[in-house]
Amino acid sequence: MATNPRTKEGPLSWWRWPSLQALALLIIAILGGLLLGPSWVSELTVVGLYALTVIGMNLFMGYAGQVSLGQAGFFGIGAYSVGIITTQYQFSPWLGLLAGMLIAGVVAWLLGKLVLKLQTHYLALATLAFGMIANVAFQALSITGGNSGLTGIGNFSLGVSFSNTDYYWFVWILVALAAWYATRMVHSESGSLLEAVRSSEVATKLMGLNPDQVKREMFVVSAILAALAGGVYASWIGYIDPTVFTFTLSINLVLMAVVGGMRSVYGAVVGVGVVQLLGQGLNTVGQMISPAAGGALELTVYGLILVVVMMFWPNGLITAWKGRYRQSSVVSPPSAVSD
Amino acid sequence: MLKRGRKWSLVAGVFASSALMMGLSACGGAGSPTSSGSSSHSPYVLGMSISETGPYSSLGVPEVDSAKLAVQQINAKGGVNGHPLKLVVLNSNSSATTAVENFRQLMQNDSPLGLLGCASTGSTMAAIPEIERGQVPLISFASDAEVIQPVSQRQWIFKVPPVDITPMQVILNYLKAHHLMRVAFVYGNFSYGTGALSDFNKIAPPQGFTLVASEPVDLTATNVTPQLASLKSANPQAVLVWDIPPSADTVATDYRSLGITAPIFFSDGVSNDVFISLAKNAVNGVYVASTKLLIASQLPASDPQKSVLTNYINAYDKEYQSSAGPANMFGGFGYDGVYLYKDAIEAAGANPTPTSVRNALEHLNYNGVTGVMHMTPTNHNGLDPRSEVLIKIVNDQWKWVPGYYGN
Amino acid sequence: MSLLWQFVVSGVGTGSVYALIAMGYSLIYKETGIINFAQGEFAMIGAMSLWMFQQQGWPLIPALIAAVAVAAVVGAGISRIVMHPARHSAPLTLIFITLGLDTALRGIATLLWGVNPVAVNPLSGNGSIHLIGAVLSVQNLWVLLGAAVVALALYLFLERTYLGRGMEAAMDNPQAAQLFGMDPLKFSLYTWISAAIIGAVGGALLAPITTANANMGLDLGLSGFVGAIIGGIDSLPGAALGGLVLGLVQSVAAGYVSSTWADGIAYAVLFLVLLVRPQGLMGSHAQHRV
Repeated sequence: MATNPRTKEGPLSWWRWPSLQALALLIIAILGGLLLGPSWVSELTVVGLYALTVIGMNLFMGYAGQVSLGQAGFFGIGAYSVGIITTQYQFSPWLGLLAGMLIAGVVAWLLGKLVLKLQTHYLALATLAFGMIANVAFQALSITGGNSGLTGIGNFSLGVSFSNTDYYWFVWILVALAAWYATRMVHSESGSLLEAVRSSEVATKLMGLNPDQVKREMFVVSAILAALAGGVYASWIGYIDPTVFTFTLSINLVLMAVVGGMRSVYGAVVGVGVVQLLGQGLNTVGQMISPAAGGALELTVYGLILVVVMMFWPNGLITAWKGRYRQSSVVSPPSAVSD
Repeated sequence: MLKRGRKWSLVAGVFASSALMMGLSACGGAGSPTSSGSSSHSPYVLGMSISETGPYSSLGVPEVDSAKLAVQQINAKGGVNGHPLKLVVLNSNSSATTAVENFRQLMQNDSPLGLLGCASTGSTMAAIPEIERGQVPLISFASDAEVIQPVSQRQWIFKVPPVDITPMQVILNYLKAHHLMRVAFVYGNFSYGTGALSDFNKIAPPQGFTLVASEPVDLTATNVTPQLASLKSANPQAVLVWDIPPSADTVATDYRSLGITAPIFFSDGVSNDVFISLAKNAVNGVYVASTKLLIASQLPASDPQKSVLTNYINAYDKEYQSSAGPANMFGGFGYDGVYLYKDAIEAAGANPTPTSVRNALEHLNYNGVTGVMHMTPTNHNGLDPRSEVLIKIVNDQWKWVPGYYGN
Repeated sequence: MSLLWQFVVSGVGTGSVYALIAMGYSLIYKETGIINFAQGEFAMIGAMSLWMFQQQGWPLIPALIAAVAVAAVVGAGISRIVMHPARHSAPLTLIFITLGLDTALRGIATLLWGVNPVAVNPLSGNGSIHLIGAVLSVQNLWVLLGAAVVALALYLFLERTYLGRGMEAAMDNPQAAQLFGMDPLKFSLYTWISAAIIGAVGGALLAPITTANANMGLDLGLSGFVGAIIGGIDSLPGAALGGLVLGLVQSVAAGYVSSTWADGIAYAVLFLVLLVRPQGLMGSHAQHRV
């Protein structure tokens, strides 16, 4: 492969770029919230929740070179943990959040043990099957409220119950932390290993390293982040049912990860932002044409974006943008990922 | 090595996307009609979040069209207390999350006197906490009784459609009269169906009914022969179906092809000509419990709803029949929702507020397309059970079977 | 026992649709190494186009042919504009591209035809037949027949024609294809057109049983895909068998367990197959391209 993984950024001391970037992200989020006013707070909370999930998927997809088509399942596990603990048992949602992350982590670890040896196609399928089975379970179990879902899910509180704006801060602090962690991860030893796994699994094995273990770690991290986002989502929105955690959500998450750039942690945030806001805009424009056109136009453009971005900038928009500044190709040509 | 360009491109990227956000926020308001700023007679705003797209759009589209029709009619007659009504509509795309977002946005940006919406129980349930916090009344089009009960936690929520048990009771009354007591239940595998099954288990056994089998049907089901075959083996005397098209049509078709002879009864979820057109001959001979809308022309002149039904059906068909098919029960919900607000705002006096409108709704007597309603502080629906009737499909036409009501 | 027989007959009825779609997946995978997530949309296009032509008052056979032709044109367009230029992309990138195509086709169909389900006229009446006590609708027989005809036609095409043998050879060795005088552009084009036709036939035959709508492709595509994997995606007979197996599993599970769990059980079977025999029941080698 053209790219030697080590030509990428070497290990950084913990306080340098990742933390500064995370801080910058947080400041921008705070400024954004202040400038844009209350009507944008909910919108940006959703963006933050998706970003949290997509940062995890980035690690697994972009850096470990795998695809998960079942991430909605982990998002759902987090959401239902908070939902069940607060509505069926009257415990604190914080406990539900921890439980959800723990369960998602364990499930991902077990799943990873079983399926991560599979090749790209089959692994993608196995995650798809997991997402589908999770959704059926949400529908069929009585503890999840079946198709009626769960209502009246408890608010987080620290002394006082979280307001809409508190959720906004909370979510973006989590996003900044996750971004910081992910950037550190990418620049660490395991990050280099990840890069090696992505470029050539055979070479990694020859070096005596175990790619499955790194992949599994990333899979677990992505599951935990999805569950965290799902848990916060459930508490914030107050109601969940199985129609939220579907294959369509998994695909939308993939879309957001791909558009920003699977191999850029901050690309995740940009990808989510672009996709979400574009969706809103298209819906509005579409409805001027006809009421039913809004959603349809959104679907069409989403699909076309995915096709065009993948055809011309398979490493995502952020990476393509960065490429303008750096002639030396950090981005491997598309073919480097295959074979 | 981290190059300068990377940092700047990041900042630029985020700013570019913030700029995009602001740009979009400008056109975000474009979906809502601009208010004509008259000072003395500023419009009264009603906000609506509805499924114009997605799986519930076959309900949502007639609901929003009919609500617009009602607003036009009211404004053409001089509005309410001399103020025009203004309806701000946001599409929920049949997503509960978007519905919550929409109501948040409506309450923050448009200061509505009242809210309308959610074609489905799920989306309404999702929005309740937000609406109770925002303290603006909501008139919902959801079927399930849990959207208005318990009233102590649903202070701001009202609903137009009959609660599930009303059409169910219509069917049970018919079954009792014909001594068909061993019953099987087929339900759509979503909140409308599962809620009805639990209601059935509450009200039917005390009246002497035995449930011999119950089978769920997926909304996207393409073949329900396995479920119906095992249901057939339980040998029921009658079958109740709580589902919506198109899977309700699949049930009807497979029911016929399996040659099950027990009479089959559908809930008001199929109260739409789509049900007949999709299943073709298979629906002839089935019973449907619904509101009087489908058989309005067969009602005697003495019926209190006859004239309001005829007015609505004529107005709707004139405007929308060519594009959206004939008037149906769901459209009636949207139409009644707006007229309920008209009556409530008039009753609330000179300077209506969301609170005074809510209080007025709680004491409203209203004669509408869906039925005669008597709202009280403990009943936020108040639909007269005699507004529900039994209908049989004969030669692709809805035919009234008089004598059976929801009480 | 008679109940089980009914479940089997119903399962084969549903499974024959899955088999048709699974063969489309398999064909594209065999010939180009791509997993085409948009395969279900060809079925949707076939069904909705058939309805559209019926609405115009066309007689059945011309409407059916025209519907299949619409899908073929879409397939050709996808091949020419997207898949051929992108053929050197990574497997992951190709998965995303076909997912994007799936979404876009669903969106365009919704813009054109709206979201409401529509009724499509059956080929020969609404009747049903009795097979030793079990019931199967006549239209379902047409689907079974369609699946059999398509399977036979594919076999004859690939084994007995010069073009087909060239395509077969190209799978194993791209150089060999050039010996047959096969231009890679045409090669991709024929593959996609064939897959589109197979899918459209499945959708058009299914539509009278279930009604059609612009969203039907996603579920159908997933089911066909799962069938293809269970049977072995690099084997056409395997994919067809997998589709039938999936139909049977869903039907028996819906009858004996509950239709709520039926889909879950089907995916659990997929999961097991992936773990125990990732190449599928009849697949030959697990790693065709990776």
